[in-house]
Amino acid sequence: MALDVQDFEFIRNFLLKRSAIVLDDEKRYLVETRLQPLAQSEGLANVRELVTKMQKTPVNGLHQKVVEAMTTHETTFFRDINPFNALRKSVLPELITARSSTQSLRIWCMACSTGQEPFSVAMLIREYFPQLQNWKISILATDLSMQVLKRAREGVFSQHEMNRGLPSTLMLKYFQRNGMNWQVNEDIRRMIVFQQLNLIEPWPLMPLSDVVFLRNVLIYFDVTTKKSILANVRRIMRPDGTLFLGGSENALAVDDSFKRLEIEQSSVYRLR
Amino acid sequence: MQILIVDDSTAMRKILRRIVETLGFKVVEAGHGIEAMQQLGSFPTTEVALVDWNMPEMNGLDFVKAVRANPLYEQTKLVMVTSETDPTKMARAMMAGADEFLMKPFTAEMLLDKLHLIGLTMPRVC
Amino acid sequence: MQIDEQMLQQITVDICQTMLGLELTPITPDVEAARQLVASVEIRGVRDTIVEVLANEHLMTSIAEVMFSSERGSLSENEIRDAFGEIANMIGGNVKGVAGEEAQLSLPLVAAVEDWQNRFPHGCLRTSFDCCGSTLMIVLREAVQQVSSANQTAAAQIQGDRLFECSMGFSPGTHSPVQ
Repeated sequence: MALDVQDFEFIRNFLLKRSAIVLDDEKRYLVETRLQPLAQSEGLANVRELVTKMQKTPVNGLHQKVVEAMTTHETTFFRDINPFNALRKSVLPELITARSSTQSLRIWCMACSTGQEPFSVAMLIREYFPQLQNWKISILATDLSMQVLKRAREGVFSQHEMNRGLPSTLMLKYFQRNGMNWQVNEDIRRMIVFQQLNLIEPWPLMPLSDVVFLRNVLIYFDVTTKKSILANVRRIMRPDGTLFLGGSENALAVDDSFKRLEIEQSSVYRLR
Repeated sequence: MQILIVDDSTAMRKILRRIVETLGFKVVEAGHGIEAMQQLGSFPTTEVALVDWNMPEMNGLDFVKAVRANPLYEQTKLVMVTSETDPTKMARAMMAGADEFLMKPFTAEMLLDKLHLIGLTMPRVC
Repeated sequence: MQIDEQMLQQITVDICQTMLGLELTPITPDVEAARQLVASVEIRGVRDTIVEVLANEHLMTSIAEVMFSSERGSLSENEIRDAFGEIANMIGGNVKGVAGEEAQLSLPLVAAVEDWQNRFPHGCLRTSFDCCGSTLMIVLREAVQQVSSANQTAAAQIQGDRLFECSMGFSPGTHSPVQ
């Protein structure tokens, strides 16, 4: 049964209010595809019945499941490679000098999905910066979805996921094969704390971050929400901290309190 | 830019050729390691070779060793593209001098990722 | 690690979907009387396992045409067999990887079998799919070498989907030397 206009509008408005995700008219098919399996798993015949149930019950687990089903989770190891080259060749070496007295670094991967980004950061640090072995390295990885966070904490990946973007030397060094899947070694998993966070809700108090990854997330939000998120990022970043966005994203179009630099063919943002 | 595809399966060579030709590579093929060495001899400035493991005459591992033993080809990157998915085999290939390892089955994006990892600047982005 | 039917299904589905964009639907095998092509590879390790891929000529031609990206009816028999062999190579390689043992993979062998369902060893691990309207069957069987008749009759039956010991019942053909 095809999704009708009213049901699509309901879902569209719900997602906008709950998670600030903007869906244009072309996404009607996507909503149908993503929510039909959820409806079935809830014992409902179709998305119409799912919408009816959502309308009749107060906001609860079902509503959260709808948000999670509609959130895109695609990610890969060392996605787009250039930001990681920038991190390795420039950002981290500068930070190591700047933090030599405190010997601590804090990195935040926002919208981490199934964890490939924070695991990439952790492996990069372990592989290329042995001098940081005794430093306090905190990698925080957050996402809206409890489901993907559960997967991320386990650090288990399919062969398909392993084949995307992961250098083979790192695969051999930091993963164990287990049947069909591969698991990140425990010492790497221990470097990361995974927590749930909805970027559009108030952020908890936390220490300032030296590096923030907010890649390929802002594109889903309207301008007002983008501004609000970037304002929060400004608040939690160290004055000399670095922000990485997705390759096609541009903070300056939304918030001119950042300045943009080009490092290793990657745009990075610093506070003015 | 020149690429050498080494696989005993004509079908697999065709699949790989389709992907890399859209990236602007000029393709040369070989059905096993000995033929591949001959092709390298004809095209010594080959930038990268995509190499299967299990082949008649000379397998992929031996081909990698032979290439790395010859300083004439030290600029040629070697990417194993193989159904061997065992970490021990993978380690053996990397120790022998392979630059990257791509497990079959693969998508065009996966191959592209590997080519980026070995530092290739593609003439044309698909 | 023991391979079970679910793993074998996932390996096959991943290969067909990723490399060929083909959707497979698991089915209960419906034995066809039609002539089948069978592509096989041998995994030689602690135990020797034969991985067989069976399909009728129509299906195998369709799969080959996808791999070669060629027009209907334009491929030679050699090209069709080559493509079929590569499917077996990929399935065999991934089965070997999951098993986790040190083992060698043979080059693929492709043959036609007339009465394959009768020559088919009973109780071996197998899984079947509907693919483009025909049946694609994958079989894992252990190659039993120099086994005494007592051991042959006492073949262990393991519950569920696990790998069974069984005798060779396949058409003649030797696999190429392992690499």
